[in-house]
Amino acid sequence: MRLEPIANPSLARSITPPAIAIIATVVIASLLAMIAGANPFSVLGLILKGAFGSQFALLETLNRATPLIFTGLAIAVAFKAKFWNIGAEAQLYAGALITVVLGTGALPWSGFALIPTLAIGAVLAGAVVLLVPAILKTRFGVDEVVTTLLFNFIFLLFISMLLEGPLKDPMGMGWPKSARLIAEGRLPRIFDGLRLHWGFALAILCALAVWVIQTRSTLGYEMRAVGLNREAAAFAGIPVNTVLVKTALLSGGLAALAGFSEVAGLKGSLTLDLSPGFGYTGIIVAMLALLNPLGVIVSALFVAGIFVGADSMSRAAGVPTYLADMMLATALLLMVLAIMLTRFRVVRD
Amino acid sequence: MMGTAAKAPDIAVSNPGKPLLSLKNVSTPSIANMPGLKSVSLELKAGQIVGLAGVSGNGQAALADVVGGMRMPSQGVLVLGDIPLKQWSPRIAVQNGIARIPEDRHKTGTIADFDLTENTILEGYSNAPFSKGGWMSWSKARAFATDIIQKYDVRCPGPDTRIRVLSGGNMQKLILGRVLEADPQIVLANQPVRGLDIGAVNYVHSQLLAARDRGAAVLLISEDLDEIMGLSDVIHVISGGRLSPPFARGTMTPSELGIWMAGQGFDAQVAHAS
Repeated sequence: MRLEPIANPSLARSITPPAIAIIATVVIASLLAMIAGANPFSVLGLILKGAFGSQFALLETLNRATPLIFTGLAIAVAFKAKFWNIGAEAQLYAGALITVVLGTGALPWSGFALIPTLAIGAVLAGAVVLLVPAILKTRFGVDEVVTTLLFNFIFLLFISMLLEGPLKDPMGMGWPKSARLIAEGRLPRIFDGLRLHWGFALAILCALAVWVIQTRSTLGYEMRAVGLNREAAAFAGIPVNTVLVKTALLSGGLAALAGFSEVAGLKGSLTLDLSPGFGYTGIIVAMLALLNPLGVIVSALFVAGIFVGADSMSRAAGVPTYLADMMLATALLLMVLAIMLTRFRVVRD
Repeated sequence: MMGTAAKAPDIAVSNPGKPLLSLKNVSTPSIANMPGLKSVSLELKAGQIVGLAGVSGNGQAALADVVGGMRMPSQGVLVLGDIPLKQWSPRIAVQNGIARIPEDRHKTGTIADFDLTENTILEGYSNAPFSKGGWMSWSKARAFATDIIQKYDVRCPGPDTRIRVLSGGNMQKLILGRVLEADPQIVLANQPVRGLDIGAVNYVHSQLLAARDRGAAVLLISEDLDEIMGLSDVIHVISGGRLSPPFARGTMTPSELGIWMAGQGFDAQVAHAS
């Protein structure tokens, strides 16, 4: 058996494999639910209801999708240029760190001045964190997968050190958490009385901006060219290394906004459990979206919906929430396979 | 396409002008199993086709890299017009009117998943009118691609087609259009007809001759001795990174060139010198 590229895939060719992948994911999830001793239909129904079934559920899903849109965009931007940023988690914490360093009273400003300052500070921090692996790669050829991945652990330990030391909240009863943001630094809610903050709107805005950058800007053209064929891009005179560094800055900045938005919009302070792996889940989000920035919104809602839905399903049906992780992992693997099958046909010799 | 016989075009005798690009004692290090250049001196003159004969893997790639802006000589000088170059890159090469037809049109000449428009502006995308203030003007780019497609007879469904579906000949015509449209001063044609059908071969050759006739300096690199002998006004042989002296058109037989290609003439040269 071998794979043969399809020159001009038909519409059916591009739709059928992903559709089968979705159906197969549901089937496999049902089997898992049965193994857990529950009725698969009620489990799936409960996930759906728990994710989108009520106003509360929907807002919860949107809130959970917000950091995933940011990290998903960060990954999508980087992967498009084939810069393998696995360190969105570290960049997220860098953004969160700057937010609490500047936002807990160091800058006694009004919200109009403070909130944009925190956001920009976060973007710069995330960009700088990813700049180091980017320079190591472009200057010395160090594999960015290794550096960005390992940086996650270093950075989390660094945050841990800060939270046990200089950043420790004196009013925190000994818990390793930072002081709370001053009220002016908190992101307001979009609608009065509804638990949805402006971070979500910012995430949507960023997705649109990234889409415009990729399709309309000169840098977007360069990033796509470098991603699709680095050799041809270099031959044509595209400054490949400069483009990779710019890509890294953009990617790191986007991931850091997830940290800013979680702290300023939701949590109010920095703890070590700020992110339950949003940086890694962002990879799933970006891959499911085929690295399309607008698709990232949809896939982030899907992934967030499964997490939120599984939480409430777990309470009602007694099936562990790990089902959600398994569903997402299955969906990712099947989707990657499906995407390959839209572009290659299997030929038997 | 198949019915047309391959014939060497009748070529008017060229009337070479001043050197547009000169290499003076240029050396480059060997990379992996690709030999570098050993003190190569070469003049590309206006209105002249210089043919580079040789068995593949004898330094052609290194020479093409130097001329095309991919590599700076480690020793020796590269003189553009009469200015010795201090900085050298693909972009500087393009800006100075060097048209580069790469050896591998699939891997280095085009981006398979880009459409024809995106591939046509691959070298010029950062300049007006395609890019202004950091933003692309896709309508201008598309118009340019449509123009190239018509002028260079690229058979394709349209400028929005992905280039991977095109035949080698049509791909090469697009590359020709991309690099020749700006009336370049210097043309680097590296294996320009490899793998093409007869019709496309004749087309590429006629374009190279047209470039020469309007005063461009052409460097033709090919493994096909007939092609080199048919088109070149001056022939150099490259062997083991060394360059033979120039041989004027018609002064060498294929077997004499073959001796140089095998690396023997160089030894005689050294013997004379000592």
